[in-house]
Amino acid sequence: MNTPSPAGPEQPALRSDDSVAKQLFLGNILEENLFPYPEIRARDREMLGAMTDAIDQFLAGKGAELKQYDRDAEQPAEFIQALREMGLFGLIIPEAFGGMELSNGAYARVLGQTSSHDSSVSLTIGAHSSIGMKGLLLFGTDAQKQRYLPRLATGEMIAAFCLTESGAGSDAASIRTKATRNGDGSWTLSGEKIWITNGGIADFYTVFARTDTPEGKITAFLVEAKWPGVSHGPHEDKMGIRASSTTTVAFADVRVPAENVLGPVGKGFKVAMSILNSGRTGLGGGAVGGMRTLIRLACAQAKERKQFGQSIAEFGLVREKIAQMAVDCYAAESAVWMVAHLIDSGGSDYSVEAAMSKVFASEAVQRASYEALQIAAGNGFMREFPYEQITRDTRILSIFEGTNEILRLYIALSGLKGVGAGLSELKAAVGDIFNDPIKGFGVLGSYTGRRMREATGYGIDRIAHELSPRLRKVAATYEKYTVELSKSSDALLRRYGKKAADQQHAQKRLADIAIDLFVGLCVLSRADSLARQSHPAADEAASIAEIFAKQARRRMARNVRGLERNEDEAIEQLAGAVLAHDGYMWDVI
Amino acid sequence: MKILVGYKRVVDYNVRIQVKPDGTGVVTDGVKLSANPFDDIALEEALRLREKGVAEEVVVVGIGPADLTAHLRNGLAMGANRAIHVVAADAVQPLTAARVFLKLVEKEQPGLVILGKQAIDDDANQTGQMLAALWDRPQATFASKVDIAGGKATVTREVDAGLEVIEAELPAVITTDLRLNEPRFIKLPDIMKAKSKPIDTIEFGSLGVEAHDHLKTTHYAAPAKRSKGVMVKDAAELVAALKQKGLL
Repeated sequence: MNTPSPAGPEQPALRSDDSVAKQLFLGNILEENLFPYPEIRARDREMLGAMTDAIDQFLAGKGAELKQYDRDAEQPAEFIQALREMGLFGLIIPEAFGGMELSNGAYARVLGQTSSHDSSVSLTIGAHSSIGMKGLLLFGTDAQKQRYLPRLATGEMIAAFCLTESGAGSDAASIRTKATRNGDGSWTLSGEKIWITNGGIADFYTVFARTDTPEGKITAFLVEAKWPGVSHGPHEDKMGIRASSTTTVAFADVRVPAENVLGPVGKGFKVAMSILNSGRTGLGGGAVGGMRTLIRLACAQAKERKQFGQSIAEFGLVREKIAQMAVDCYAAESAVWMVAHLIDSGGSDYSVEAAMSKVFASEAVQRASYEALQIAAGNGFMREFPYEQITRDTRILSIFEGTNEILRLYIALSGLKGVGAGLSELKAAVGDIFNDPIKGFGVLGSYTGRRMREATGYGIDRIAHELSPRLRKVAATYEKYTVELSKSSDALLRRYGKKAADQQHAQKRLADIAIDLFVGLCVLSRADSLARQSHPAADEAASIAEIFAKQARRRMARNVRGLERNEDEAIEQLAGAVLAHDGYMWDVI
Repeated sequence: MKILVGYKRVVDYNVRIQVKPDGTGVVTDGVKLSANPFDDIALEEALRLREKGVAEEVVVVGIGPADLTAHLRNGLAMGANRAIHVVAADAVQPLTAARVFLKLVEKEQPGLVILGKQAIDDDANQTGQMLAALWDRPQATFASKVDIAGGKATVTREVDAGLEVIEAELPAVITTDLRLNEPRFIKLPDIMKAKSKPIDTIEFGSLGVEAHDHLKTTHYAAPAKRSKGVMVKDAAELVAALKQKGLL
């Protein structure tokens, strides 16, 4: 589904409508959308510095209070009011409705700044903007926008996104909250949602319910908290992001007027997926902000702490951690910013890139929190220090807004689907090869044969964009493994036919190769742009591009090999045995 | 009434200042710059006077290179109605700054000029006093409380002997002390609003002000490092330590 970007028109349009990520599976590096690395919009550049300063001024002095909110598992009403006054609920709402109309890139950067102080603050404002009212921005009618956006911009209304249910997490299509159409065109909504961020403080819910109409199974609704029959449960006692409100939200025969249907009736699942896809940059931006803080803490700790008569910043194993955190942070930032740019440029096919940046950034910040705590060692383990809270707070990132497992499968299947679709275009008579590849083996064989020749031929798929000699070497890694990814995707389809969709171990490997390629290409493109701008840290950025490429090459080589030679079957069997036994089967006594 | 506020950009007070290796100045490249804290206090006071209905317009003034605009936008985001940017490539010394302000005063006819008592970079503490002398109007320096009524400013000053209260006929120059007020935070929507507020640009050369550097800086050096302290157990040990150092 085409998801219009609210901040699109100011940005130059993308040169290709194709998806960079999906093209990788076909052996193509879509360099016209990757180079040059997108620059910050002039409008945002002017404001972002002032905004991040203002956020620092607002939150920097509140360290003790924020820590207390974590302990109390609640942001008090005065603090929510301060967030409203700060303007943090109007970040992405158009100026015409009283908001700040930030681009996705600027929004991700602002969330990075709030996350550098406190994750729960980011959650409260992010759940509101990224998902709570994003549907209204993307799919709302003018009347709906007029009615709600001005109050959402000031925070007079806080928004929440209600999709998840006890039986419907990753399998969101299986929701059971039901809406039935009444004679007057209104709807009656009943059911219960769980783990709703902002559930306890929201006034405005975007709710997904099963409607089972001829048009489709699921429909999205805009529901006000004050309507009869809407209620929420107590704040959940969570491991992390404790101060952010998470509750159940129940709908007991709530009457929803016809004008509060969001998007077309029956198209709710696509509405939900579009919201989540476009919301993932906010999460990635938050992860980057968290990493910046962790790197700063780690540097201070490493320089200050003396052991064996020298500061531990002199020790190789500490330096390694600090450098790796910088590589991870730069890589995540490069990918998140690129995805934000894809959305801001009015691109419509960015869901795979968004998923890749979410998977990478969420795992990178967790590695960083582990390593920063490790550098602080004993201190890191004490609650007096910030590491334990950051560790708890970041853990959610690989769970919500699509678990990283689901997203990896989504990345691989979307890529494989593209390979199948390409084949069907090749010979229309064969039809949908992805769904029935066996039927198309003949075509597949000749197709892949031709493409393999192309792919393995010299000079094919070279990045034409001019690069410095250092970065040219980096580019060669990605050129090589893009071809490997397409070969492996072909091979998987050839070997398993339609059963390729069930090969989760293989899909994970394909997804990881694709993630390394996409993130690595973003890192490369950004290093190239920084060199051209003579950025003071351009050399270090080129080093990061080299380090990332070497590390990615090892991971990609392992994954390519793993697709051919692996212990997947043995792993499957062992899992079966452990599961059958309901646990561990051995003991030393 | 119109209030003119001096709004200087300095190296942020949180930055650990580093002297350039050749001793010609301090490092400002890649260093966070922000408003002189005393100037933020001056602006805050002007905004409060406007909010009380004493003043109608608050104008922030900055003297500096082309990129000073972003800094002046912060003043507008805090609430100033408009800004004047006197474009000057080099830093100006207090007398030159005072002369620039005099030109702007003649043009703008403010009822009050509020400046920080000093800037935290050169700590000169001269511009306000010089402006009052050149303008031939009263000055109330180091203000810790300001009341405006009946064409007069009643200003409380923190002096060594305690608090001194003086009255000054308007128009006048007030310079701010640290405890005058606590400047407000800039809110994000105000940053948006500031984009459409006017910044008048005036070339320094067009003002007819002589830029005369009366002071020559010969060398910058970092302060000597403080030697490590000693921990003492009790008063007796402290007395002994002081005696040993010949301080008692």
